[in-house]
Amino acid sequence: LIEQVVNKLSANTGWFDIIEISGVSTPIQFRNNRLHSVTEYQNSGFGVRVSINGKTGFSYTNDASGLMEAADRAEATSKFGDIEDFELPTRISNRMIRGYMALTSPLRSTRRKMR
Amino acid sequence: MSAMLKEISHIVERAKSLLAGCGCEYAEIRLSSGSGTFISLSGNQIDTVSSGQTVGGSVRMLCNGAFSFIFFNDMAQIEHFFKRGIQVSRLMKTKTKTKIRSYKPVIKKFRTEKAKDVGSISLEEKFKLISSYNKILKSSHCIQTTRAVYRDLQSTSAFLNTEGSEILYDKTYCGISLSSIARDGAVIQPFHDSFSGYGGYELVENREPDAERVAKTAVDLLTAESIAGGTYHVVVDQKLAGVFIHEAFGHLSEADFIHENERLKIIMVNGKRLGPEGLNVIDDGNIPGLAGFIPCDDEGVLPEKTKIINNGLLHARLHSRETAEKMGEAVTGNARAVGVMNQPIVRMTNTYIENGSHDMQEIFEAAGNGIYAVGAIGGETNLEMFTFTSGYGYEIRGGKIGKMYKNIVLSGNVFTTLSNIIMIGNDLQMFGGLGGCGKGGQSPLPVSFGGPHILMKNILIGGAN
Repeated sequence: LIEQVVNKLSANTGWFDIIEISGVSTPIQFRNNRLHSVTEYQNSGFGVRVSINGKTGFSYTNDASGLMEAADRAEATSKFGDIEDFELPTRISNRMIRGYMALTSPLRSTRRKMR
Repeated sequence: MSAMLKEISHIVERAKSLLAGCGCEYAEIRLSSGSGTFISLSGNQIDTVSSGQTVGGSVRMLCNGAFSFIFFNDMAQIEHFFKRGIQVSRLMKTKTKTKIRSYKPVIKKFRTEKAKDVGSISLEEKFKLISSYNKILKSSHCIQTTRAVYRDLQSTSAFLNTEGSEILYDKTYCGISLSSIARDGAVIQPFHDSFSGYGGYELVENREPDAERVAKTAVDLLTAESIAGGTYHVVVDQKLAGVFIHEAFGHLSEADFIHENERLKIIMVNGKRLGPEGLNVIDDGNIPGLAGFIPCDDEGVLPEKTKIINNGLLHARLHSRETAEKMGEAVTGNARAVGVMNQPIVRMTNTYIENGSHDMQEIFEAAGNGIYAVGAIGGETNLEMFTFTSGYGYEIRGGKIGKMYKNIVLSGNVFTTLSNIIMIGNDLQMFGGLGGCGKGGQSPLPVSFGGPHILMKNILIGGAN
């Protein structure tokens, strides 16, 4: 699906980003010296940013199967963006970037960016 | 079947079989799939145009007297997260076992009634509508800047529990928020209003008169005098009456707050006189269309019309399953969460003062000389003490409305103020808005509030003079 979205955005946009984030957190609360609660949150999702005719659009989804629709929405919102007065850094291709927490603990944290 | 309902319907069947064999005292699964639009304009600038989609689910279970809560948005792994819920609750070896009230199984489907589906309106049309309101908001040369916000949300949610409840809800929420900020030299005067509810695009159409009123009030307030501080007879309008009853009193009737607060336990005893005969305060989640409408709460309990104050006497409080069990009272359907990613806690829904028998003219004549306080722009409460800033107000002289005032800050003790109510009007109105209520890190929860015009004596008003 990502390949299809990349192909579509390559054809329709000046540039684009697809950002994927996933993580798990486990807050544990003690109250009055007693274990009060243990909860767990799993969260993942995609952000799509596009540039069309020098204007930026953005959308998001946390349902991986809805990535194409997110790309459609990002294209639609770009019509309302201001003209960009910034330049992005040079191209970084398919590089996995790991935070130091990922190296020192079993907590999962990944962030991937393609341009 | 809507597209969003289709998305979660295959998970519902898996959720049902997980609940059937879980072996806990109680467990519930909440699932949601939704999409929304947000447009925000400031002055001549576009702040945000955004549109997105979210799915999510959560599992809350009570095993061996301990609650666990797991939130996830990877629906495909619901079995894994359900198992984690059981593991987590077994970690909690509590000395005091939590118990909750059981409730009848509820099997129902609900759907927001709407004339115009927000999903069928293009982003361009929504942008055009809010831009037209923004144009009105900046229509005077005294307006320095504006803020106009449009938001809609369409979602489908499912609630299932071990009692056999299966509740499906197709929900549409829509609203706008309008602000003008007027300026004359060093005097800066903002004014704001907001409208929202469960329904379609029709809720936000034809709001031009409201935008005109917001801009005009901001400009008028530039030349309004500040009121002199003192103690006054005060007539509060329907909106301020609603904000007062929600903020100053409603939160004190949330049972989790009472149960954890020794001082409140002594004050909030059912049967205690708090106000005059004829004062009735209601919380009712079952009023379709209003921002606080819930077909059922987030524990699968149907909302009750709860009379918190009945003829001036404290009559009931708002409960979740847990607080009802702890305090030996009936559930009221007030356990709510801002979304499936949060645990339900005790919250209000649509809270209001019921109509009395007096019309507005009688109330102003009875006030004689005093202050008419209109709307509310903010405030804070500290247990039974409150401070609210009214949107604006007018002098009342000989029962007639006089000059306009700004910066009207009302302070006092909520119980003293309730006992100082002299007359209750017959013109109840309800208010919502794009904001909402905040509690326990969960905000904004859609609620509505209101009342009729109310006359109160001996109200302390702070002022510049």
